[in-house]
Amino acid sequence: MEALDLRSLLYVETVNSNLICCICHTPFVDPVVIESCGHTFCRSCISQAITSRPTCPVDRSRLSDVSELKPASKIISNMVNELLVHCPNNDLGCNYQGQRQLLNCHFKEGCMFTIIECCNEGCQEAIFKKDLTSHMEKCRAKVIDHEICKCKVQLGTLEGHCDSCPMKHIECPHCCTTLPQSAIDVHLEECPERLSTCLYAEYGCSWAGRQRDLLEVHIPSCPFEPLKDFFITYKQRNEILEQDNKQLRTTVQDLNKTVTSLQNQLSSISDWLASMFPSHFLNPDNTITTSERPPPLLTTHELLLSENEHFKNDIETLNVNLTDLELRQNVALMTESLRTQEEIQNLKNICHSLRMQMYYLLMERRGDEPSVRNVVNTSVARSGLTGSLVSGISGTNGSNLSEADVLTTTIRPPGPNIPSSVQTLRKFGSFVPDSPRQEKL
Amino acid sequence: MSTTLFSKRLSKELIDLKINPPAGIEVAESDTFKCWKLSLDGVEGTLYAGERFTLEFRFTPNYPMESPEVVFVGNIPIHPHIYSNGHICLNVLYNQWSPVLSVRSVCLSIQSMLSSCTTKEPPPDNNHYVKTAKASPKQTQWSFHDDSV
Repeated sequence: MEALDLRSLLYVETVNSNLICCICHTPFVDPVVIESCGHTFCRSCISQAITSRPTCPVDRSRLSDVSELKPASKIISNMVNELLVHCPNNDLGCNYQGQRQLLNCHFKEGCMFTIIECCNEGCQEAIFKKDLTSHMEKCRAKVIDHEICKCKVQLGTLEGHCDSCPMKHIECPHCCTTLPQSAIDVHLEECPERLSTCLYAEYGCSWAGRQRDLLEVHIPSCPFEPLKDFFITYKQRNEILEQDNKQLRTTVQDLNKTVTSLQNQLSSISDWLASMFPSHFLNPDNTITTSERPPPLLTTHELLLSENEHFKNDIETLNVNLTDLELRQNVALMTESLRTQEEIQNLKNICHSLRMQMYYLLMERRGDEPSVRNVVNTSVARSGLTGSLVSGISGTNGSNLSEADVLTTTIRPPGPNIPSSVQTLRKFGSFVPDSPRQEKL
Repeated sequence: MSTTLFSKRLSKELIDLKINPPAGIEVAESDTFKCWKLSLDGVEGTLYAGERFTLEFRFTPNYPMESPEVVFVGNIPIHPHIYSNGHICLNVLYNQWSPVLSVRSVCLSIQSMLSSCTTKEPPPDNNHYVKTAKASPKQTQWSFHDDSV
């Protein structure tokens, strides 16, 4: 509580102007007198005044030191101390009037209109001192003993405490016994009258009844009792499977996420590549990456490719045609050559027969018919000059033949004698198998 | 302490001026404890009879240990000790201030200074002073020579 400021007091009567300090214009508080000139002031007023100017404020006489200030005479202090004043709580309703010197005592102890704070912890409500007793009775922060549990409770929380007080007696809803609240939870678990279900209710037993009957009556006859191990095993297995399932589900989700992120990466990479090498990425069928984006619309590149394809097909067709033609030409050539060969053979035969005929005729003209072997030998010896006319032919047969050819060109074969000569010629066929052909080529 | 003394003293003075006003002096404006305006009537039988002037008081929180700043505003009386910018050459407002003086005593001093005037004329150095003076007369170095008023 702060000290009373005597300068703000309200005086009951008008104060004699001789008792008023001319600096603060209120009745002297702790009056002092300036020894040299005799002027009186409040101690605080004159102390303040002489710090700014060391003169008496009234007559401006020089004031050398604070020590010149002496307490005013007893009669002056008594007169100001005995002035009647109102209590500073006058405006709040205090009607006290008394001597100023006694006011401090009244204000600090006697005044009922002093505002104080409730001393209960957690209240701190500002109240008039006169209301303290009535406030204390109903203060919500007041600590009282609870009538049941004897513990300290604040008045404001009493109602809540009554509901939660551990010593509060509660009746068990099953067996009608009364128990303190702290024990009721344990009791409710084991109350024999409590309605309960079978231990195997989760496996499908529909029995319901009093707890005391459960173990004694029901369990021995419960159809689920013999199967309980089975159920427990399967429950455990089920739990394991559920866990596995959960794990797998999360794995699948993770994988899905990975796939999505990879797809995103892929599309971003192909976008990037497409911006770098636009010509390669216009047709996605031809790209290195297997982008899942829809292929772009018909492009020049695609056109080029299809043309390429066309050309390839054309070339293939042409190739096939070419092969076919070659084959056909070969066949034609073969037949032609065979035919020619045959013709040559025929001609050769004719030639031979003519030669034989000629030879026969020559032999006939000489007079005797020599053996074939001799003829050959002699002809070789004789025809040395004529054989040189035919280049590239060597050997006895060749010489023989060239002679025959020369003969053939000069001598017309006689028509009617051919058949006999052919027959003769057949005897010598083995001698000249291919020569005519060689000659021709 | 000085702040409470300042406000208590000024409120007492104001109540006193309103309840028991001196003749020809009236509080015109006193909304704050920083600046008051009082009207001052020329006393009958003097050169300023029938005229009304306005005094402006400016207080610092050091009042009453420090003098208030007092100037005429609006209609400024023509007087050998009153400059045309409203500054008043009066020793109690400057070096002769004392905490026992009050708004009321200052007003009475000025009223008496006006009343004792014999010729209505401006101060001789008025033009020079008005050109060079600061806004507050307390910043002027006054020399007081005329003790006749």
